Amino acid sequence: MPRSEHGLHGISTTDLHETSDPSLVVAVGRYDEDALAELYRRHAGPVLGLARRLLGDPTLAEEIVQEVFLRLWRNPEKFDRERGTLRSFLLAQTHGRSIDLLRSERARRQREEREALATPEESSHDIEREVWDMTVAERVQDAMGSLTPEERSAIELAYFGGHTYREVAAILDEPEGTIKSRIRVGLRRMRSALVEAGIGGT
Amino acid sequence: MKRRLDHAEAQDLLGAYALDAIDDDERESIEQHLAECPACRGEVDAHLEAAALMGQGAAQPPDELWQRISGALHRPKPAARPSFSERLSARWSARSRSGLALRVAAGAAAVAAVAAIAVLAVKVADQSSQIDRLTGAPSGDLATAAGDALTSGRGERVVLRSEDGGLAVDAVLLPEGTGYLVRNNLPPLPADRTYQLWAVVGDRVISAGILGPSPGVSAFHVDGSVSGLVVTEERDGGVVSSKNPALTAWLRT
Repeated sequence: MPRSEHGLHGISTTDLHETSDPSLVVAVGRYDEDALAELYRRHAGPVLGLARRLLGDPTLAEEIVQEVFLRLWRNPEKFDRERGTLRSFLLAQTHGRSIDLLRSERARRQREEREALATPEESSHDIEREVWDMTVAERVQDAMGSLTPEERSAIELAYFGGHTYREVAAILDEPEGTIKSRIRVGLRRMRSALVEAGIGGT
Repeated sequence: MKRRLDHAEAQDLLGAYALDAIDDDERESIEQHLAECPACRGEVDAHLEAAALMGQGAAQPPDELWQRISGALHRPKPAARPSFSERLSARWSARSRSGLALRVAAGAAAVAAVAAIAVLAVKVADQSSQIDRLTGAPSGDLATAAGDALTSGRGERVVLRSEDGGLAVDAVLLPEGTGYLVRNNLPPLPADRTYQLWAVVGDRVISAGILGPSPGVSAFHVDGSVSGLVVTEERDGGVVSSKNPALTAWLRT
């Protein structure tokens, strides 16, 4: 069978920058390293940013980045373009892996010592190295501003603090059901605020 | 508390689930529900988009990080994937969401095998197969050729079946990798959809070609000895890797 050089089976280097994320993921499925490099160029910054923010440890954060991109290399089919953007897929993976680490680290420390932990949101950010897309960041801030203070603290404790909703309920001294619903309602509200602001898709 | 959640219970947990703010046992229960509930999947996807934007601060990765990743790409894969023949007790699952999914009787290996088979479908596409439209001789001639293959004694007759047995595709395989789809009861698809045929060769799954929206007799050829055949439904033009469930499948036992 003839092997085609273009179309589905080859992306020339010059086209890489214009190729959509989902098409690059398909190319990754064919062991196309250039495609992975391009995806890394597009998304490694935010992936690292989130991992660092969650873990507060640059070395661990880089390990997460490595893991997330190696996973994409090995299991590109895990990304389903019909369920969202590649960015949110990668950040969800980053969050999940970071939280796993955080929880096991926390469990370890809790066993060893009973003193209070430095929670990740208090740990040092490498502010100098963080480059925010200001427009998006501002709108996200606005969207978070649309939350009630109660929703906001529940969501932040869960997402950035890496606490389960049960832990959040204990921290805030509220019923678990209340926290579950604050998180859910808050996320929905943020989502509509973001969509209204023209970011975050449909 | 690993148990089935009803829809309302699952819904309550969707926000917390999207933020990874649940315990592992709850995660399992929710994922079980998500697999069956498109509405909840849609809600989780929306929550994930919001969460991703919230977590959107960027940092500048150090240059050597890509070098590390890129270096790791070429390392030999850790433990070899189980060969396909080790998974022969498997059956295709028409209901699974996990793409060209295979459910393995051997319990613990199931998840890994599902992932592996989907990867194989992806990775191999480039190597030996194109997404070819299977055409060739008029169907009468093909039918004759297929009949000859059968009666020559060299051909092996196999049947691809759906999980519930309702769909069947009869095929004839010749030892050298040629085969014929003889007849089938696949329902006709809309014009923008197509059936696609996949062949299992060794431990790989290769696209063996596109069958069109209402397949008749078709011939196909792959290099190597075929140990399984699968038909999926895809968008017109076919795909290099399938995320869709096997409609009908045959695996050599």
